[in-house]
Parts: sequence; C-alpha cells; structure tokens
Amino acid sequence: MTTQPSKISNDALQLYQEVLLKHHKTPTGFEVEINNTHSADGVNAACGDEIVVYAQVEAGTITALGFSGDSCAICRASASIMCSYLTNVEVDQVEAIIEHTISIINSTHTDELICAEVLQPLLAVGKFPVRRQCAILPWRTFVKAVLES
Amino acid sequence: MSIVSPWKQDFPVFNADAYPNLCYLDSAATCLTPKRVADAMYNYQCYSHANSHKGLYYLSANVTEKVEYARTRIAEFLGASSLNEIVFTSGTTESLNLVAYSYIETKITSKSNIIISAAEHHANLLPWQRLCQQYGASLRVAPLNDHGIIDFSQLVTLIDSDTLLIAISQSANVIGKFNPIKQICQYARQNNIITVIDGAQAVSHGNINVDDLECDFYAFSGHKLYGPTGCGVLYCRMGLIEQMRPYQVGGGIIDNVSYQSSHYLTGPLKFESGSHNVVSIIGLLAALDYLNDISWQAINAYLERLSGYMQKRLAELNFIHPIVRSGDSAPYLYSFQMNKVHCHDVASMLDIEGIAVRAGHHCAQPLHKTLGINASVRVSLGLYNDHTDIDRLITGLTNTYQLLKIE
Repeated sequence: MTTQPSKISNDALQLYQEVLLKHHKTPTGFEVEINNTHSADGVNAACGDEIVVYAQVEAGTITALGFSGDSCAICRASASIMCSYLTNVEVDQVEAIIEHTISIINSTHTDELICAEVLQPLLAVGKFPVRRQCAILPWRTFVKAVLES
Repeated sequence: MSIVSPWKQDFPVFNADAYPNLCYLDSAATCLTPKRVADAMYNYQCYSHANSHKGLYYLSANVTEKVEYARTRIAEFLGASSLNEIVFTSGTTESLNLVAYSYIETKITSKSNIIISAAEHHANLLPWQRLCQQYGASLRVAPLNDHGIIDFSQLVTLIDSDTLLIAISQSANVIGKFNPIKQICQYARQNNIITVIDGAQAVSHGNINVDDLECDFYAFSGHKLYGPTGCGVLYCRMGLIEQMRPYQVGGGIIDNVSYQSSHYLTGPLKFESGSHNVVSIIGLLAALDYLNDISWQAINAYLERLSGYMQKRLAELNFIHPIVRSGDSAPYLYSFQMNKVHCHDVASMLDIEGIAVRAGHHCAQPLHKTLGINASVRVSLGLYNDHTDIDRLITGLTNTYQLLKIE
C-alpha cells in the first residue's frame, strides 16, 4: 500500500512558510569556507539540534559568517537568516540586533511587531513555543562565538 | 485492517471536552491514565488520606494497611516470594540510585568493574558511571547485535573475577526488544555477580517473574503501567535488604535513635524514609487491578497485533529507516529516522496534526552516538491506540516528508 500525501494543514504551513523552507533547503552560509576568527558550538539537548557558528571579524565588522551541523529546519533556516542579516554589521551593533531578534522569536503578538523583512519568516515561530529554542539557538551560539569569546 | 481498542473509552483524556482527536503514541514515556486509576486516587485523597505507618488512630492504620496490601499485590505481580522484597520509591531512577548507594557503594573498589549495555537509559548509566568515577572502578559496555539486542556471547567476554555488577534493561527504551535477561542473570549468579534489571519498559508487558529471571534487583515506575508518576518499585532479592544501608535517612526508618547513633528498621521500610506517597501507591494498585481485570493475555495479544500492523505500515515508507534492524518480534515501540528531515521537525509536524510522538535522544545519548546518529523519532503503543492512530501516523509522516525533504 502506498500512502499519498494528503492536504497539509494550515497550521503546519504557518510554521513552515515558503520563505522559511527556502532558507532550510538552500541555506545561506551553510558549510561555507571562510577565514573564521571566531567559532562556537551550540546544542539543543532536548531535541538534538547541533550547530557550529563561525564568523570572520575584521576591524570591528563581521565580514563573513557561516554555520554547520545537524539541526532541524527551523534552526537551519534561522541560522541562514542570521548569516544574511549579520554580514557586514559592526560588532558593536550586534548585541542589540540579536536581543531584538530573540524578542521577535519569543513574541506571540507578532501583528504588533515591526521587523526587518529578512526576519519575517521567524515571526511565526513564536506561536509554537517548543520551536522557539530551535530558532534562537544560532543567535545564542553566535553570541557565544563572537561576544563572549 | 480494522484493529479497534476496546479500552480507549476508559481514558478520559479522549473525552469530547478534553482531547477527542488526540493520537497518543508516546506510552513508552508515560502511559495515559484510566479513569479508574484517577478515581481511586481522588477517592483516597478526599475520603481516606492520612499519614501511613505512624499514626495510632484508625484513619492512619487504615492507610498503613492499604500501603502494605499494595506491597503484597506488587510482590505477586513481580513473582517475588515475599512482600518484604518490595521497596516503594519515587520511580525507576530512584530505585536504581538506591541500589547504587545502599549496596553497590559498600562493595565497590578500584579493582571492580561494572557492566552495562550500550542501550541503557541514562537512569541505568549515570549511577554506575558516577560510582566508577568515585572509586576508580571501570565501566564496561556490552555491545548489541544488529537487531539491538544485548549480545550474550560478547557480554560474557567482558566478565572477569572483578566484575561486581551487571546492570541492564530487560527492554531498552529506544529499541523495545527483549534482552536475554534470564540467561544473563543465571550466568551472573553462577559467577557471584550482582544483577540489576531496569524493567521500566518491560513492565508494561506484564508476566514478570523475578524468581524465574534469577535477578537480584528489579526496578520499574508506576506511570509506565498506567499508574501515576511519583511511585516506583524496587524488588530486592530476599537476604539482600539486610546487607543494604539506607542511603537517604529520616523519619520512619529507625527503631532507636540517640544524638550519637541510630538503629535502622529491618526490611523494606528502612528505605522509605519520610511520608509515603500513598496517593500514588493507591493509583499504582488501581492500575494493576485494571490491567489484571483486562488480563495480560488480552493486553499482549492486542498490542502484538497492533504492533505488527504498525511495523508493516512503517516498513512501506521508503523514506524512513529503523535505527536497528527489524526482526520477527513486534515490540510495542519503533524508533526511526527520516531521510534528510530532522527528528524535531517530524515530531513538530505530527504534533500539529494532533499526533504525539517522542523525538530526540530519549535519555540515551550514548546509544545514539554508538549508532552514529544524534537523535531519532520514537512511536510507542498503549491500550488506547488502534489502527486509525497508525494510519494517521503514516499520513503525517508522508506529509512531513513531502513538505520538508531536501532534494
């Protein structure tokens, strides 16, 4: 017996939006080779996400960013978004950007939020509390790599 | 194929005002609660509650009697020869720690070695790992065969004259198949090696006989048996309890205390300091009654049939792979990975469809590393499941793969 896919629910499509899936399937920064000056490991022990985030910082600016590891679609997409968003950002500005991004991921009142277009796919994650940690992991790992090193 | 649970209606969580569409496939983590168990706990707490083993009044004496009656019934369930071999704990984890620190710690030396299997839950790994670290002893790991079962011949090669303990699960929580426990325990006894059996998963199959298994200790949790959390059991073979010391001390376990010394009770009560978790013990007893009334023969016949259907349908999906080779047996759980789709996404997609499964390392990280993976998805069966749950699972997995696969 072969099971054909049935209609995928709207709730599933709300979380796994087209743009987010695009980041998951063709991620920016995944396993890219750069001359990294900083790196750190991040683990989400509850579900098994494992990620390595690495960055090249030159004269106070993040000039390149990449990640590797075995992680879920939400984590991969979030890491891909992070790689797009933080490249060419000054390190001094990063902490505030990351705190803002994490607050977006944690928010359930997404209608009231104003955020950069590149972050829009992360807005849906807040409505799925058990997935927030997946989306946050790359950003926290970046903090560990660059700001806490 | 129509396989319909005659017992689903016994579980109020499926009522119209709760979760009528719930497809619960995580009974290996915890079983849902039959109304009969919840009612027994409610009635006890409302109408009979008192402190057991301490009060000199009717209400307390009545509760003491209930606890000791439960001890007798659990001894019967396990095939133990006496109620004095049964210790109440908070669960399997406490039971295993109790053995570690009440008994094994009194015998371990830097020369000792302890054998576990590669498939153990952290609860049956960490107490032994810590003891070995503390005393400079060695922890040896018995490998599994291709089907995920402990390889007896390989295990025997790890044994030497310094082997103090073999601590293994009767059925591991990620694999679900039964290990050759009787063969291992008999061999161990012939060689004066202590055996501890983690029965957390196997207990839901019933038909346990610790005398026949020839194990020294057997641990399980009530909530894997349709009872509540917070109540577990440790079977200690007759004669061992008197060699053990309480590792947690306090009220209710002594017959004489001075400021400078104490003399502990004999028997299982010396491990049950503080107040008993009576309401959970009542719940466990009600669960045993519930299962006995159904009959273990009927339970296992039903779950084996349903498991066979589950294994067959899952085997049809060419994009998922079991973490160990399937065999002739039909364990009540199945752990797998989906091609290029992370386990957390699988669980999340299923959850959105009302299907509850477990994803992650299931408190068995070393096993996953041994198998060369980080995580897996586990589906496990209970009395309330039927063929529609399996059909929903198959559709959910198909949709998940369709949406998330990376070409």
